[in-house]
Amino acid sequence: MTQTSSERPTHAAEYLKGDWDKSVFLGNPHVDNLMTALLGLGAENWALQRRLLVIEKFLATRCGIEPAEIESYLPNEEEQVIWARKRDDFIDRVFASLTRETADTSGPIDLTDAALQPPRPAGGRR
Amino acid sequence: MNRVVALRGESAASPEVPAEVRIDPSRLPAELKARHAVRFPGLDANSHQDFARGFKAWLAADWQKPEALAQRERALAMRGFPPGETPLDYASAFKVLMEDPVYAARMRLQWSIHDLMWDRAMRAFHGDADAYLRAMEATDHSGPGSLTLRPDLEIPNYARHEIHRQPGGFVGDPFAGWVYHYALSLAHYGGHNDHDEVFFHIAQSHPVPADNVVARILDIGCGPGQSTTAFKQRFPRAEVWGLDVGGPMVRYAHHRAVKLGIDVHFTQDLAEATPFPDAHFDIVNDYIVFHETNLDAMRKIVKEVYRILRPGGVFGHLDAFTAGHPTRRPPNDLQGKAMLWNIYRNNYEPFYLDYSELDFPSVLREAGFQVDLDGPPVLWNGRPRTVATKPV
Repeated sequence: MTQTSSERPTHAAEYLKGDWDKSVFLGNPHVDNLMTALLGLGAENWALQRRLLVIEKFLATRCGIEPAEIESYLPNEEEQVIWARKRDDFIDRVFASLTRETADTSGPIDLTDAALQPPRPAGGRR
Repeated sequence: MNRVVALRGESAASPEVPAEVRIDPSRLPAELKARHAVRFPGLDANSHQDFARGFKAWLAADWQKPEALAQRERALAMRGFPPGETPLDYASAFKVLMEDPVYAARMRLQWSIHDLMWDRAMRAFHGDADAYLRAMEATDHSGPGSLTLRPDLEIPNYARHEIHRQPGGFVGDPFAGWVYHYALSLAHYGGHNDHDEVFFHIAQSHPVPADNVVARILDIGCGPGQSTTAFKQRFPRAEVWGLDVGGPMVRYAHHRAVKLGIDVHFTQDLAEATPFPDAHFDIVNDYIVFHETNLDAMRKIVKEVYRILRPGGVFGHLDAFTAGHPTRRPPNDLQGKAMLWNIYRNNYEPFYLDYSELDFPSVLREAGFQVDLDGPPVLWNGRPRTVATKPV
């Protein structure tokens, strides 16, 4: 994903990190992670399908672009850099779950302040 | 008040909400729908939320099919767990169901799609963080309405938890308000709240004091302020306040209200220690607030609401299952108890079970309220509203 560091005031405060992202429902965390990745792929696929629907609509009604032109297109150097970044963002969106930490979350929620975290920075989602 | 960051601005005319919305919120005029719809600037971010909406709906429909329910009951009966009341506690009930691989897979899918919803919204806002922070800075000090932020507010630990698996919770993420509003509207309400219909309905159906005087309204735990603005749209001449512990929540709420041109005031404060004088408000509203506070705060907030309501003022309360309610008592069968544990533990709502087991109507009565447990039903599922009136 695009990382934007911002020095602007955010008014975010310290928060208590939960262990909800460490749950294992299927016995083996890798199976859980694969299910999550599968859903991520589904979302990516649907986003592409929606984008294609828009593009096909515009191509058909406004541009008259031949399908063969699309099939034979090669990105230039600048585009290659941008496309690579988009690919890396895509991989992170879909497959980040494969590297998450897990823990036993079957007991009650920990209500102490042991998990106190600093405010989340803007642009630093993870 | 400790520190006023923004002062009250110019007032603006609020768009009118027709009375029939009280009956059917889907009858919102097209202009209001357009004003209240949310959409990410990028197509993909909207498509990800659209996928989450579709998947959540598919999962819920599949889970609630009569044949699926019957199959689960049969499977449980064969394992020695007949329908009806169970002596098992919540955690044990959940463990019993989790031994069924279909149930376990359903849990995985339910929470993975929920996490995807939050994650994609977080990525959209954090990926363009400067722009969104700039947008809020541009409205921090402008009206209509006002914003009061309290950087030195001592936030109790119970309010610092990540609720609903939202990363950073209500207080810890700079875009908590944006994320909460966009993700829930686009993906979670399943089409029931695409244009704030839920919140229009909450405001439109809220009871008024017997003398019909409504000069001041407070919306506690207002989050991104959708109900706050909806109250102003129903009562254009009233002074309407939204209060929330989350700085990023009220900051976004004010930004949204300014963009809508609605003259409401937001303050970052604790609902158990508001900055308002005694007998100040005619109406206090809460929508799903109390189950996200601990037992101590629940009682304190009820006392505070009683203090700031004027005699004859009404407090509308909409929340989860609670003991002492004739029709909204927590379930005591195996699947029901497992469901409550799933909400508490996996939707990460640390005080959900506390609220469920508390006799909340009695807490209201002990504070001095006259309590009507069968107030006007609201929302698409007809949930009953509790109406607590401060005696004259």
